[in-house]
Amino acid sequence: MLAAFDLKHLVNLISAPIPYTVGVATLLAVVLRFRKIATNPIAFGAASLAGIGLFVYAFPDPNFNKIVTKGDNVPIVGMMAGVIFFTWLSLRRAVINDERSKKGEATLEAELSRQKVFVWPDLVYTELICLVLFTVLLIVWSVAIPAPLEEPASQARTPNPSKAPWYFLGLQELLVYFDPWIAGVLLPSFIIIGLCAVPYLDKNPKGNGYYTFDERPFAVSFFCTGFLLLWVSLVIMGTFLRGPNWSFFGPFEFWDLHKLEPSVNVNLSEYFWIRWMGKPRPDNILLRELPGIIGLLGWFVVLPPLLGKTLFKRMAEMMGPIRFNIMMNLFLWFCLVPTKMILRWTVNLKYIIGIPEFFFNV
Amino acid sequence: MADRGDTHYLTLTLNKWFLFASLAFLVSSLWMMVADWNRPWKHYQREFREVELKKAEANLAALETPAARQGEAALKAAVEKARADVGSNQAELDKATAAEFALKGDLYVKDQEAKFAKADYDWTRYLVEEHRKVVGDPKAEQEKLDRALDRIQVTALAKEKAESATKAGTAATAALMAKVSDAEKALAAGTRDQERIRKRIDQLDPKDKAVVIANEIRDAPGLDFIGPTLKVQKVVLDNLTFELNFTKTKRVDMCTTCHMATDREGWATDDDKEPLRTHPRLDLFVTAKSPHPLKDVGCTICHRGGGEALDFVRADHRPADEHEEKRWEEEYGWHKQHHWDYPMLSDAYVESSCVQCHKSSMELVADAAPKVAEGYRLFEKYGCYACHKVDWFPTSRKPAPSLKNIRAKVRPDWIASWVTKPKAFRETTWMPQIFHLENFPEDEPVVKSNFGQGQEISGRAWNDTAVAAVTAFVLSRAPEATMPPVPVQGDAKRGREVFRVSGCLACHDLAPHEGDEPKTKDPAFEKNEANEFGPNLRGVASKLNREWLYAWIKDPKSYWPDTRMPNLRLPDQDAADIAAYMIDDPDGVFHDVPKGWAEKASPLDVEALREQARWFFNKLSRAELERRFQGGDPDHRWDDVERLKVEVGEKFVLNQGCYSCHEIQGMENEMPIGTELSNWGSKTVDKLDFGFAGDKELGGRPKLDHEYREGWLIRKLHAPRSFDLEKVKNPKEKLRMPYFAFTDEQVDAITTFVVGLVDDEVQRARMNPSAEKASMDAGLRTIRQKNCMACHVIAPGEVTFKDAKGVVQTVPAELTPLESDKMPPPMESLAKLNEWLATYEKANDEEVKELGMRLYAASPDVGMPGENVSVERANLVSVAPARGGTFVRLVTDYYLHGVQRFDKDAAKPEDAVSSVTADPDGEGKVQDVDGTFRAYADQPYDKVRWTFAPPVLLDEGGKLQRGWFFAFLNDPVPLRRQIRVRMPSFHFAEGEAGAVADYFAYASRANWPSKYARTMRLALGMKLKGDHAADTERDWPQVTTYREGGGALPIEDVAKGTALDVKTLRGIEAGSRADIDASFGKVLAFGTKQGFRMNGAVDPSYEAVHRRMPSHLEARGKECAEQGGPIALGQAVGLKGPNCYQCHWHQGDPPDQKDSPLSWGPDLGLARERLRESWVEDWLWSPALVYPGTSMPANFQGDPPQYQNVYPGSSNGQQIQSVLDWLFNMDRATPPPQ
Repeated sequence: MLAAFDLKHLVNLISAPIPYTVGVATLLAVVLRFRKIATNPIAFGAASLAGIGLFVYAFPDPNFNKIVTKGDNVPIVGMMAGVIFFTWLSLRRAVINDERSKKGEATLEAELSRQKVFVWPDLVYTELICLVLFTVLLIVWSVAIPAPLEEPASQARTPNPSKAPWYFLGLQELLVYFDPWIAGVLLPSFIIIGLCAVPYLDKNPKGNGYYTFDERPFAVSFFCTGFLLLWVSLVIMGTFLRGPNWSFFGPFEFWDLHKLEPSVNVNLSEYFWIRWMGKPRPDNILLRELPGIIGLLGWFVVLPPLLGKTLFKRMAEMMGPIRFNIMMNLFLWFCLVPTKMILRWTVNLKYIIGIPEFFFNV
Repeated sequence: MADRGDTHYLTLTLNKWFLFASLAFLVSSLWMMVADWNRPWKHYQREFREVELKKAEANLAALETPAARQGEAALKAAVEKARADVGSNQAELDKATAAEFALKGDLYVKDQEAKFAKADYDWTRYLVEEHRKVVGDPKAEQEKLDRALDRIQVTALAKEKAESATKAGTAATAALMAKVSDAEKALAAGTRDQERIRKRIDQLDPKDKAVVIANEIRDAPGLDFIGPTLKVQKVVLDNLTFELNFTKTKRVDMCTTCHMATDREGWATDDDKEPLRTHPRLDLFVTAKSPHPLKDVGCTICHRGGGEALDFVRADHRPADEHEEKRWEEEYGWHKQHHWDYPMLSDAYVESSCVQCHKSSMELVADAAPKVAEGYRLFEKYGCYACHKVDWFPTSRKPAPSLKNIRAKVRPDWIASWVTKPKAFRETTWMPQIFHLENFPEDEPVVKSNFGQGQEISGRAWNDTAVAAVTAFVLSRAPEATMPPVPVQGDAKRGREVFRVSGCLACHDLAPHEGDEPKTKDPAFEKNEANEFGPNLRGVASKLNREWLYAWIKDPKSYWPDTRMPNLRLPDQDAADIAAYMIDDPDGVFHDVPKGWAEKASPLDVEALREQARWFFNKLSRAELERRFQGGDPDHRWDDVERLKVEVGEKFVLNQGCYSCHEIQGMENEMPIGTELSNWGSKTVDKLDFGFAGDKELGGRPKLDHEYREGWLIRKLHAPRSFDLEKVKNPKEKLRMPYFAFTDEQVDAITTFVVGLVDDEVQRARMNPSAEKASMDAGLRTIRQKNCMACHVIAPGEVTFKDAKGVVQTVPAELTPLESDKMPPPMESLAKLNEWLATYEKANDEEVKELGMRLYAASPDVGMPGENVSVERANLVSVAPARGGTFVRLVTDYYLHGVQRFDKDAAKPEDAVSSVTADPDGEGKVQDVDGTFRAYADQPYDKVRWTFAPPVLLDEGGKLQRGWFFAFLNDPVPLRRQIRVRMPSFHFAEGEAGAVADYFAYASRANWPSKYARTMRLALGMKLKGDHAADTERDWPQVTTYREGGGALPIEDVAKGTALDVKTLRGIEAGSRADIDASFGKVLAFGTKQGFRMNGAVDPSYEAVHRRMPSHLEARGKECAEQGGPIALGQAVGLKGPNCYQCHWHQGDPPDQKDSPLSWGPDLGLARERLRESWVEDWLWSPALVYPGTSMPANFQGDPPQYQNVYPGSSNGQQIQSVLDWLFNMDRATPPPQ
């Protein structure tokens, strides 16, 4: 009993935002780095079995059970399995393709594309069968798990926790770190604009039509970080680990309404003027926020050429200055998210630029 | 076309997959359909149908007795025979039928022609009008119109002729068939009940295979949306809305989809289980004639829960207890619907819902909803409303004594001890304990003083110091005062008698302290509902001084303007005697304090006091605090502990809200400290802090369910500060609700009330009571708040017994004293009665086999009002006490027995208990109002009770004129001068006295129909026996002539005559509002037809006294001109006949029997302003019918009529009329020569 308690307690502890996010990031890095081992079917099978075992072990726990069997959370549990499986599948094929490339053989997809198939029955018939089976799935799902209804909506009494639809929970998580206009307007716009811009920015033909890692290490890692870490893992966090008052709860923790997470968040200007300069903040807003403004300008103006000269030198040469600068700006926006999260966790940073007088807080 | 062999997938395999997918699709679609079709409520409806069928079959079987079968067969045979008879004349019948058929055909044709003509005319008229409009010639096309009109006339005439011919033809056929149709009618009438059930059985269980199959199809999955036999039942409530935050919708309740038997009678046997059970109170709910019909109020307005849910769990059913919860979890997968804010109320708290509509009629619903009414009363008695605002609560009086002059009343140390623990002095006080409660553990540190730098202060030190500070503050706000000396020397011995007979014990008791045995049998030592109205006076003299007590008794309101204690208008001597009796305390009662009570100052810990100052003045800087401690601030010299105590005490009083209940100088405008409770029942549960202790059992009480609010409230009431346990809080943050030591029942009642305080959508059902209801409610509330029922009986007790035929009868009656005891046996409960009888049997060495009782109202199947009936003890089922009048017994007991006194210094144990009165000779005599001591120990109970005890108020509204009653309540005058119990001056607030007068008037009017129905049956029954001499003037009451006949008209006969069922009639006789409203008219009509007359119902506003009107006096004057006019005649009859002045006071003069107070009657001069004529008339006919047991004799029942020398040739009725003329014109009469 004690051991069981300890394990659950441990899980609860490592589910706190910092260990959770850092853990997922580390796991992703390790998987990508040791992808050959990670994509080994036996290793993956063993890991999957371990995961299922953990799930089975955790299932009877009342708090865990309540959250995973909630009508609208069941598909997200399924989604987790799906994401893991397809990530594994793509990575596995990338590893095989990379090995085949080394040996000078054609990729799996190249081989496959040499074959020809008929529209009927190979395409249409299989699509029809899938369509029917998927309809069956939807019917069974809707009968077996009734639509989860909540209380009548009220302006005066919002539900606690108030959660966005599951697919937006990642964005909602960002609200903890950013003002609504950034988390809810600017960042989603950049995501859409960025995704639209990818075909025009990325003219590297490698990886077209086949899985590979070695040929596109930056692109794959970038995508995996963006999608798996900053989107899927935040959805999971928002679904399973955020409770009343948006407090953090471990998977085995009771959702106590009265749980508190007090923290005093400090603006960069306060750090600069009060802590480091040892004097009150200037009354002039611009002067007051100067450190943040300089910092952000440096981030978006100085960093791209600097990185183009150093870390991303080869890429900058390949892409040309316009493409590279657009890409870098999008990339830096992307990097701002985890950066701000880390700053919040480590130094309680509230705003880099904090001008509540004009609702301009970054 | 490609070769099949080249495909990537094998087509055969794909076919197999497709087959599998299609099958899975089919199965899942069917599953979906069946899942949608197979709803639990359909099972209940099927089960309901089966059970109903069984019940119908059983009912039919019960009806189909052999005799009934025989009767039915005979009727059927008669029909057959009639048919056969007609058959013998078949030819004629055929001819008549054929003729009728032909005539009908003709009529059909003529009718259609007439219709065509009419249509043609309408069309022509339209065309003609259009034509004229266009052409402009008013005469245009006139002939066309005339032609059409002609055709209408012609066809109409033809139709009329055909009609009369057809009528004649039909009559001819009917005449031939008359025998058959008569026989068929007789059959239908004779088997009406059976046929009704048979029809229902046929509906429930159709024999026709086609119907069975059609029903199956209608209910089949996938087809059941068209016209199924199993249907969702719903009530749409137009006037009740449901708040959906953004919009209001009509409330829709679908509960009866499963609870199908709820409005059916006879579904309440042990075999009937929910949901197929009858609602337990059909008289009040669900049925159309009840006050809460299903179609108007639905279900969820009272029960809450999800009205539109058709699923056990989703309806948010509520288990009664853990056992049921377990069972439901297993059977239905039950769990609380977390997202539904209106969980069903468990049966234990369903009365809560009464509050939402009955806010202004809480007193009126008290009988039907005793628990919530009790909660409401406790809420008032314990002054909950003083701290917790409830926006509609009908009182804002401060519930506790004023502290403005407390120095004059008690000593400082007494205050300290009392505040520490009020119940240590008086167990029954409603003052709660404020300090030394669970959130300040006695031996644990509460705080470390001086900002964590000083010593630890224990809960005990903190609270002791707080008490000392509060005491100092309270005293600082009361001026030093010395009471004026008592003007006359008090006499304790006389005081004891005055104390007993003036009425003190109506509201106060002298019950011994907990754990002490009463040493004597004194009834004043017994607690009851009435005498716990004021505080228990045991030990009270230990805190008071003689001068204050004297002043208080003389005029309580001068000390505490809001006190409930009324002014008895006692003479100085009486008040001084009572004060002497209580302070000198010869009986050892008033100085008897509980064990463990000690009057002492609360220990003061100066460091704790300073720490309290630091907390309460934490807005000040530390430097400022320190300056004050050092005495640096001349306005706040805190170096003087006394001054510091006062300032800290003030903060404590503000903090704990003492001023909410007590009037304190300078704190009149402070806001109460409690949470507003106006809509507590609507507050969502997540807003309640269950603390940490909520998850544990506490003091044997189960841990709390976080989904429901009731448990939270119950624990709050039991242990108000337990939600602080295990929490880290500073002393200022801690909970402040004091501890009332409520019993489990009290907590339950208060919980029921508070849960009913809702402010959500349901409250829109708020009922606006009629003026009558509102007035009665206010009247009842005033009666309760003034404790009128301590002295006055307002409804007689009830005795339930099995009569000789084995029928259970419940009659308003009072048990009469047994042979060897003066006092009547108690009627609180059968258990108490039996206990009393056992003692009696032992004491008198006799076996009581029979009990006597006197009926208080016409009881058709038992007897007349006033009649003595004896009941075998074995047949007694239950007894219920009279409403009110507990003090009657006490005062009567005093007149008969004196007071059981306990002398603790007695030399011999047998002398320790003695019976004493104020009689200086020690002969047990009691002093009368004229100062003379007289012995009453040998008088019968009735005589003493009706003479010296407070009067009963049965039908008081029918007796008194409202104006006089109102004036009397505001300023009482002596009516029966021999009574020493004093009708107090209450100082009614605005509207209260009027409401009391109205209450009695309305109550009399409301009781009238049931009185009429009972009396009518009794009177008619006696008349039917034929043993009476007809008195044309009056049918009722005629006691002497009717009595010999006995018995009443059987209720079945009345039912036949009124075309009502027996149950309704019994309902009317028992006073059921619904039955009276629906059917009393028929009873009235029946009574009138039978020649039964009775005085009309009381008109609450009708005050005219006809007998004083000149028109009446003139008319009567002509009739009795010879005798000197009606007034003189009445006076002659009254004085020379029975001689009213022998016993009655008159215009302030004493009666002839001056020296016999026992036979004194009220002043006759008051009658004209005080009494209603109809009541006096009844009273003169037969006093015993009006007040069973009264000493007033029936003076006008002589047979033949008496007093013929005074009023020659007069009947009893005429004599009464003349006396009435005199009584109501007494001021106009010429006084008789002395």
